[in-house]
Amino acid sequence: MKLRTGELVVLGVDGSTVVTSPLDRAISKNGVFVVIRVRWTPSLKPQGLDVVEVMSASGRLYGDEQAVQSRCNPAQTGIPLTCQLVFEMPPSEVPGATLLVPSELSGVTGGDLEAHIALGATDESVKAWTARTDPIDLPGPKAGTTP
Amino acid sequence: MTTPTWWQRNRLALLSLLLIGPLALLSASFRLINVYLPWTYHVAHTDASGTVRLAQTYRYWSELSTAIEVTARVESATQVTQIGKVRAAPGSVLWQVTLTLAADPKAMLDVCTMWLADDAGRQYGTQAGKVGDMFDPTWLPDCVPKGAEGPRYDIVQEQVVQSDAPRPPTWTAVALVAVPEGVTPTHVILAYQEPDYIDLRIN
Repeated sequence: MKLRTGELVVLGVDGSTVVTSPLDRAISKNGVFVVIRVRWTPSLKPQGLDVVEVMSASGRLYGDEQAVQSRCNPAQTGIPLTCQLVFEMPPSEVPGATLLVPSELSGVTGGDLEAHIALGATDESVKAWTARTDPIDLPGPKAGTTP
Repeated sequence: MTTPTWWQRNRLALLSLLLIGPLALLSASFRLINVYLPWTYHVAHTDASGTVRLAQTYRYWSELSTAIEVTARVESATQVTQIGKVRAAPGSVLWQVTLTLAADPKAMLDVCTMWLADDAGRQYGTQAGKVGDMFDPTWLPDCVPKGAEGPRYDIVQEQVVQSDAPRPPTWTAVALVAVPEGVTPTHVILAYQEPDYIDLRIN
């Protein structure tokens, strides 16, 4: 999806009750970690994906600091950055949720939102994620054209 | 006794409108303040000769006001394969740009920012697009010589401290930038504080 400030491609959506990163390991007792793998390429100036949120079908917003760090920066103009975005959510809130990506990624919300991307999570997929206990590994952002 | 007119009965309220009206307009126009404050780099300093002089006074680390005067020219702009362990991410190439700077050794110039730009105006910074070293020493540009930085503000001691050796009157500043393959950067930007910046042509 082409935004004013870059191009965003959602490579996949997955979920589990456990996520691990090089520095963290987190277990969600009552929720589920939704992991969105994306490729972000800024088009105007170096800018990472710093302020992204998920909005549930009920209108609630999920984002900000998570139990596991999942950064999507720094990103260079014209060089794709592959990263994972993690959102811990109540399972009932995941079906029908949407990823929100503002065009001006400066941390100021309420601006001109340009991307609303449906995650495609269904009741069946969320049920499977909630029952899953094997961890999803988050290796960290990777720059370059190799996926 | 005549009945006061509407204007007489409401004269205080009408007078207060002269104050309240502009205040209401001002508060509703808060976003416009961003237009007038110098929070972006929009004052370019260029020179066809290739040597650019920048004179600027600004608040340094928001603690003290400082005046700087520095002259810059491009020493070299070349593609490199690797610097130490740092390489370009797949699909990109590394450009190393060296500037020769001249300034009074007493000027505080240890904190700067540098980036490259192409003719379309796209900007390329020093932080992203590089791989190979988790503690990338080229994350920030080398603004001043190591060990001879000159005066700098120590935020812990909250005072200006001097480097072991004085900064020489001329020195080089270096930036290493990853640029996508197929893109040729045509400008290097050197800046110390918004809104002023030096724009030098390369390539």
